[in-house]
Amino acid sequence: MRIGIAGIGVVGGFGCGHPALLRALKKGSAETAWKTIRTAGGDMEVPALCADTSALADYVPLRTLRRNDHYTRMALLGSFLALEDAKIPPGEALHRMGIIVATGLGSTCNTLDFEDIMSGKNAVCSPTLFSNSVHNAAAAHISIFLKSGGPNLSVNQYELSVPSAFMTACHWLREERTDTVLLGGVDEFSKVGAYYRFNCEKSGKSGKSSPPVGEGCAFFILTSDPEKIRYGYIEDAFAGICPAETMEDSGLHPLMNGISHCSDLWHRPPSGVSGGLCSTPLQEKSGDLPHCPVEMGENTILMCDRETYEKTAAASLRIKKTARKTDTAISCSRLYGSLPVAMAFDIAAAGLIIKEGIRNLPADLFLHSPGDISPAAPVCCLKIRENNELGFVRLLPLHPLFPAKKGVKV
Amino acid sequence: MKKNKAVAVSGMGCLCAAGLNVADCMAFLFQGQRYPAPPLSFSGRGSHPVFEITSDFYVPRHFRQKELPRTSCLAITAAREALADAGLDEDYFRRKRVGVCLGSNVGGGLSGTFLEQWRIAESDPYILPQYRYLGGNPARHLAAEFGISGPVQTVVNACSAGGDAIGLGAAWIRMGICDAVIAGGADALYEITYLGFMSLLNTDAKACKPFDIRRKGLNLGEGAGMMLLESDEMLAERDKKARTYVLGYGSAADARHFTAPHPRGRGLRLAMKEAMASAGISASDLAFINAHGTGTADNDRIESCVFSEDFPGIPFLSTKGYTGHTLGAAGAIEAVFTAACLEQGRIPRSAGFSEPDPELPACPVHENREISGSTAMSDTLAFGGNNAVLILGRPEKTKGGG
Amino acid sequence: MIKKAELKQKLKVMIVQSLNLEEIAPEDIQDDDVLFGDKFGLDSIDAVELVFQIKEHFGVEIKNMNEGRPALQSVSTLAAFLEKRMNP
Repeated sequence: MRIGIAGIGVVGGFGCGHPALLRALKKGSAETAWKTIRTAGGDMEVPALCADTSALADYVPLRTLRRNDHYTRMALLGSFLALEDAKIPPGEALHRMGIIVATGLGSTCNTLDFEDIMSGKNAVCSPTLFSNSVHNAAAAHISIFLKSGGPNLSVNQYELSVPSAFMTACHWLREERTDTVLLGGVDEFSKVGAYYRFNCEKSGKSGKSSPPVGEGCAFFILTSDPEKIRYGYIEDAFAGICPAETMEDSGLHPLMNGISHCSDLWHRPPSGVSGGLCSTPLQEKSGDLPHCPVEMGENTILMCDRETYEKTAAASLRIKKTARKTDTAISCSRLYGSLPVAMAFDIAAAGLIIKEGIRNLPADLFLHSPGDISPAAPVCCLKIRENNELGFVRLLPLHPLFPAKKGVKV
Repeated sequence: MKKNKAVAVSGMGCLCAAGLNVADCMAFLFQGQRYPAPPLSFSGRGSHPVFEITSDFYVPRHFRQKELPRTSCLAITAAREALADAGLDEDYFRRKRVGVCLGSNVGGGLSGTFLEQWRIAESDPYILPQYRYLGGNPARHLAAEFGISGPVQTVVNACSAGGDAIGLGAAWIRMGICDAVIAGGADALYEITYLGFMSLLNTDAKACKPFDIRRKGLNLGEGAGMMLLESDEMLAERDKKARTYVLGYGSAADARHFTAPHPRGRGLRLAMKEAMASAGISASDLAFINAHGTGTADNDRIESCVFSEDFPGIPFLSTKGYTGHTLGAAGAIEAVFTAACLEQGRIPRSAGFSEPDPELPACPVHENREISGSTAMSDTLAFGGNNAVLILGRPEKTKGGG
Repeated sequence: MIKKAELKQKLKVMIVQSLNLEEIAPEDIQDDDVLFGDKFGLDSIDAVELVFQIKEHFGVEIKNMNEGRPALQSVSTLAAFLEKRMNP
């Protein structure tokens, strides 16, 4: 079974809808705004990439949104855009569509404002505010607006929320729990994050070059119907912990020679165990990709933030004693800012690169000297955190090398 | 919807106001006691009773673990019990592909400690909370505790998160991506939830009374429930037997209202249907149902209607009267209770229930009773209209053996 | 002591603002309009929100919905309830 992306809906500092993201991608930048945050030390102005949800009025009457805060409005708009892009009319055949929302901060921004209320004299708090503060608020509101009674999941594990959501979406589709999954990553502008960043920069803890705090969402329609797949296949997705020896010493290092190898290597079973540490079983994968060239990783496009890239480069240098040169590495974070669900935007950008057959991008987006993009290149969206924790989603282009095969079952 | 392979559970752990381990909890349930009381950890904020864990339960193994949020401490304690119960050697365990799938209401970041820090750090109000938040993922803390490597997922489906996590974790075993999965749920009691539920007017000012005519709402609780899910291959390699099985899982959204359950239990029925289909069983195969039974007017009425229509004559109970509503942990704690009740061949009386409500077509068991059969169902309903249903027990072919 | 007309006006503003009724102005609410009917599309969570707001604005506590339901029928019933509770 091949799983792929049939529709994309994005909202962020670059604008609303994937045409806006594509424009920003070609231009290599997005307009930064300024936002005022209130702190104990007085108001401060911080740069921000914010999302505008006014287009939501095109999809639902405003009065039905009276209990939806900015966070759930972003998620709703992203969902409508993704459905529209996949040409699924809302309300049609949605009763068993799966919904997965990944969020790094959840409704935390709400919850924090709501603490202001609490730390006052009140012994109670607004029930509406409280009910919107639960972490599954966005996924629940989407299911209500779309009347979609399928499986509904919210995951919240900071920067690994998005790959974790993709991992489960693939499981649902493979186990045929559902044939369509609406999956999105959403995070609201975090004043906590902005303040934290401000202070880090003031004390020299992070480079001035890092993008401002962003907000927004990227939603996807994932399907196993080969006819509907337009933005590439999801070859693999994983969020979790990589074995220490794999990270540190052995030749199985996923970061060693092209990130693209990581899932292949994880598929190589440790002694005495069948299958690998990846989210797709070994047998299925090899059966699915008989034509897959072994050196597929050589021209892989790596999409990640600078921090992750530096970690891969350092690992490469330590193990191979040479700096990496061969792969293409891109960071689009200047288009949407820094936020925990950044990977969702990377996946959207990767889908657009695949669909539009983009061969070159502005030099600012490359994490090394710019180069051409191979049209047949797989894209690996990666995030590496501390303590061997990492997540990735690998996309394969819609290329003759990787034909969609109908009727192939596990 | 197709039948799925049963996934073995080789160890279980649980702690809540009813006890600090599975055996103590079970003994407590059958004694029929309960001691809800106003909250101690944030006293002065309200008089509605809660089911708090008042004894020390957590022993840090490393210096840095002293700083973990309470939710993580609960999760680790229950997971340690599950691993010990499974007879696992930690070195052996570390060499396997082990996943962590944990359900929680808000993760560990927004705990009571967090609030204190927020208030204290007036000069620099945002730094500490951010730090807390970044480090506050209980699933990550569990993985670190046991030094495992494999997939990690934190499920935040509000009150159904614990049940969902077990169902989702079972798929990792079926799909061959893990040899074992630590799956369950954990939630500490904390102030925002307590005040929030009070503002929704659905907490009882006295001990909660699920399914009773005088029910006035829920009491909050805290705790954790964990199951060690294990592949047949790893069990065979260790020469161990399964304690019980995850036979089926289903989940569905009501897709109707944010805080009120669907009046005819649409999502609950869909989730039950999926769970039964994936287990390959029918209603008459169930020995009993462990209901969500929070003690709120709507929840109990809807569950009672669904049970009476779709599961006529199957005994059901709510254990919320002994534990309070432990939110993200509830689905997991109740899954552990369900499996343990099947082992003992008996279920406890539904605490708090004494007078039937004429509006409810079915009533829970009002005294401890024996049950026969090898499978049972545990269901949870959540904020936002999420429903999660687990079927636990022994597959037909291994009945009486294995 | 607050006048009845003034109280009703205050309640209407409170309802529109606290429930974020986007397309309804305080003047659109008649004193005897059924609040929880089709006209305004209010439901159970709005009811508990109003209970919270009444405590915030008037310091009057409604302990449960058995007490709240008759009071929350309309602006008139709410005003009468509040007058009784504020001037016992």
